[in-house]
Amino acid sequence: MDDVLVKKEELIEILESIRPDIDFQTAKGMIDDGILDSFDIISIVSEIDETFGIYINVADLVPDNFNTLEGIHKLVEKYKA
Amino acid sequence: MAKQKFLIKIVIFLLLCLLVNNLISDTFKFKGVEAIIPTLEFYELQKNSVDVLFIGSSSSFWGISPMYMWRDYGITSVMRASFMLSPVVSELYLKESLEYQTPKLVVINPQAAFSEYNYDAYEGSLSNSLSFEKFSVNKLSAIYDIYRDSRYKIGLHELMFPIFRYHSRWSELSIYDNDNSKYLNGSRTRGQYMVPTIKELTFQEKMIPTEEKTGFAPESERHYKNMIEYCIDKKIEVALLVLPRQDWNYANHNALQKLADEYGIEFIDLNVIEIRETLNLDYSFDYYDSTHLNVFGSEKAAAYLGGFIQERFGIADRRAESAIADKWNEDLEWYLSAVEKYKK
Amino acid sequence: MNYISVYFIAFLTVFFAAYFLTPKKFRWIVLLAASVFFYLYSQISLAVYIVVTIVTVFFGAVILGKINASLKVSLEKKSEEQMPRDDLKALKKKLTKKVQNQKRIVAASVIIINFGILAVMKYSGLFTGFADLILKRFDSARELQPLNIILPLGISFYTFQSIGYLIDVYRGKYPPDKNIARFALFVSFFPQIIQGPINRYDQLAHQLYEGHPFDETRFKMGAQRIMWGFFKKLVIADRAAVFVSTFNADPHSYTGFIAAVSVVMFMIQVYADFSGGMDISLGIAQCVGIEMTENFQRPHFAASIGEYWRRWHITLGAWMKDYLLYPITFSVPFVKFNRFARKKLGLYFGKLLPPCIAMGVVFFAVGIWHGSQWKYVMFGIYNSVLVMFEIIVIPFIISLNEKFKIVNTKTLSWKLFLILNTMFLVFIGKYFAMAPTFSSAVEYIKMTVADFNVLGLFNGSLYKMGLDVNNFNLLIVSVLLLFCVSLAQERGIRIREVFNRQNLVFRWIVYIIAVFSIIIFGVYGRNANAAGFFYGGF
Repeated sequence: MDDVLVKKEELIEILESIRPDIDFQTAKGMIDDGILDSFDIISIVSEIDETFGIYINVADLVPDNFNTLEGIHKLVEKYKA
Repeated sequence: MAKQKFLIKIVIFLLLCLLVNNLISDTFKFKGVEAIIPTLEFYELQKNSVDVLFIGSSSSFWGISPMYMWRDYGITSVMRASFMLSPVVSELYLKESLEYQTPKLVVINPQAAFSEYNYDAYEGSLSNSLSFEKFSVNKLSAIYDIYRDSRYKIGLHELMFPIFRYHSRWSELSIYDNDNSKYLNGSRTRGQYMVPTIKELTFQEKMIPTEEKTGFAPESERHYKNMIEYCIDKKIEVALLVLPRQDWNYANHNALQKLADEYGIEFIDLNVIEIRETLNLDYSFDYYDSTHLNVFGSEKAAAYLGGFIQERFGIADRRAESAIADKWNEDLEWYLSAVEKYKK
Repeated sequence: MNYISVYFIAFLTVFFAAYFLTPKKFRWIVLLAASVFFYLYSQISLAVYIVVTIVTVFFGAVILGKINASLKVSLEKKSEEQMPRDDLKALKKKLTKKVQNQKRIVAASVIIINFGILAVMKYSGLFTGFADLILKRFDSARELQPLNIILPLGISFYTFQSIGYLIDVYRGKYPPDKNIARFALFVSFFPQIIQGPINRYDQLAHQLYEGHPFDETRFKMGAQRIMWGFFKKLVIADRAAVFVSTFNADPHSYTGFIAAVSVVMFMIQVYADFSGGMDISLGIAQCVGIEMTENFQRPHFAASIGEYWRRWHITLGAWMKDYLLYPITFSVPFVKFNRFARKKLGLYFGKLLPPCIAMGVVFFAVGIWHGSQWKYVMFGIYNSVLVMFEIIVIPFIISLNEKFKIVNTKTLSWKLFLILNTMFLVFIGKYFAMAPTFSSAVEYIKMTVADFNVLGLFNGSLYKMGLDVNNFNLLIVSVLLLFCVSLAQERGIRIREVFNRQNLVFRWIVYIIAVFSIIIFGVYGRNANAAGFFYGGF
């Protein structure tokens, strides 16, 4: 098992509390395809910042980081490190 | 290589624009009667057919009558004048006119030498007087002078390409704009603007002898000196002339007399009391306003002026030369009937 | 230097020649020299302000860059040291925090200096207005003279652009520029200096510094765009402006209908002027191989106010989003508010309310960005309220519609309705932009409602507003042309590309027509009636 800093399950929990209608495990291109809108991003980032005690830089609010669950996960891990 | 080819394309395109500009420019020009009629008539004259050339502004324009001088003395003369004629354009008119005519005498009205030309106020008249002159080196030099003297307020592009100046006339173009001859309309005045309006004046004596001399404005003065020198160089007789006007005084007279003396030329001042009495002008009939004669006054001015210059400068009486006289008499008939119509 | 002058065209000719004759390595110097010349020619005395901005932001960014770099190094060094995980994390956090404070001080100082200058220049009227009101209480005779301030050229635009760069460096998006001359070029590049667009450093800077080769097609497209911009400005905008200024000179002598038409004319004027200016700017940049960001995207086809502001003055909206909206929404107090809202107000409102309020603030800022007068405050509030309303209410309505199928939102007629509705809302807002003051705007609105004499369409009153029949009709025709072009663009037709595929003769005829249309129909220069003064004097 990987020694992850952030558990994926915890992340999914947060995401689903904001958008229960999305299946984050399989969703791809969430930004590019307009599945997540900018208000979702704001809520998600706020919640993640609060929960994990990090502060995601606005510079990282780019599609690559939010298109998939893996992208978000990697981003959070980067900040936790 | 690609750059060169592109540059050539640009140059050809610009030449095409120039061509189109030349085709449409005349249509847009404002056909102010003060400029187009005398200009058209001048260039329609037979080459080298006049003995006297008059150059001046509106007081000349209205007050000198080549036609009356023909009738009374057989003098062939023509006038280049306009409203608010600027010294720069006066000089231009002189130079260009001398390309077409070989007069024995040039008579200049140097009124404008006393003040610098107000480019702001009279830009319209300036543009009008300039735009119909043919393109030439003289015109280029005049354009540059105007550009500089107006403190760069009148754009070079407006002077070089009248379409920039008159483009907004597009909404008021008429068929007349394309056919200049419609403006001429058979007018035959040899450059005079016939003004029938009468203003009754009360005479006020302003010609009080004095030693004073009014100062000239340097830029304007320079152009008049250029004109005098140009004539002298070409071995043409030149004289200065001022027509009767209520605002004239001896200070002005002395200044011009001095200028004339510098060059050893004649100064004809119709305001001088002796001459003025000879003219016998009727102050309730012969004036348009206090500074301009009207067409009736111009008859009286011509009576004196024609006689004076014929005697002083030996201007020929050509009434016996049928080759010339026929055309002049024909035009005189038209002129006189026009004046008769005005009298009614 | 005015865009609309023969001198500018002469300047451009020399500029292009100089650019392409200079070796590629030094072409950026030509850009800088041209920009400096352009700025100084316009106003030499006020140039000190842009210099202050260039210097403070440049050095501020350099310092921030150094801090970022040294933080990175010390963090890496610490990682190599043998230490328990938790201690390492705590240490890193402490280091970062200390550095954070340093960065904050540097950034804040630079921002305060630059926005301070901007605030004083642009909004001193507001302050002296307030102070005056208070003073009058004590001494009604005294009247504070407003500082009659001429704004330095482009101050609103270059200040925002530079501060955007500073904040990007602060966030570590990219390292700062090491060359102050090159940075000066980024700030003062003349095609963007008069009225934007507000570019981003990572998009624009490298393009400026790289020398671009001459590309005939690209140059042609740029030149075509410049011509189109001149057409919009000279033929459409300046003509509509005559109507508007005639109305504003004596508003009460006209009917409410004319007032409404004047506002429409104003909308045409501002759009043609602003987007025409953009065409000229972007066209010039395109000629020298530089691609700047678009600032307009046919705002008249927007289906909502929100969308309108994503199509109108795009770079201002984008700047506000990245540098005002996000910092607000991710600030600690706001994040707390976000959480609270989602808990207490449920999923729908909770998600929407916080960003909605943030957007409200942003649009208020956009409003007063235009100027310090009360009317712009009102303009800001108006747009704010509309945008907030859209954010909160529209999704609800959409979901309602999906459930009950009230209207078919896929039809053209529905889209048309949305567009007209949006345009109407924009129209109302424009009263506050067109009228000289807030109170006169209110008056104009009252006039419009009270005295809306539609017969004005037929009784010739439209031709008495400074534009005779021919000029008015020309305006209508040219606006129709503009509309057709924008419709084609909206449908994705790339007009310049289609045009460039046509035959040479056709293209050249069009060029000649275009050039002479601008020369003949442009509104510039003197009144053509040269008759003027032919009495008196000599």
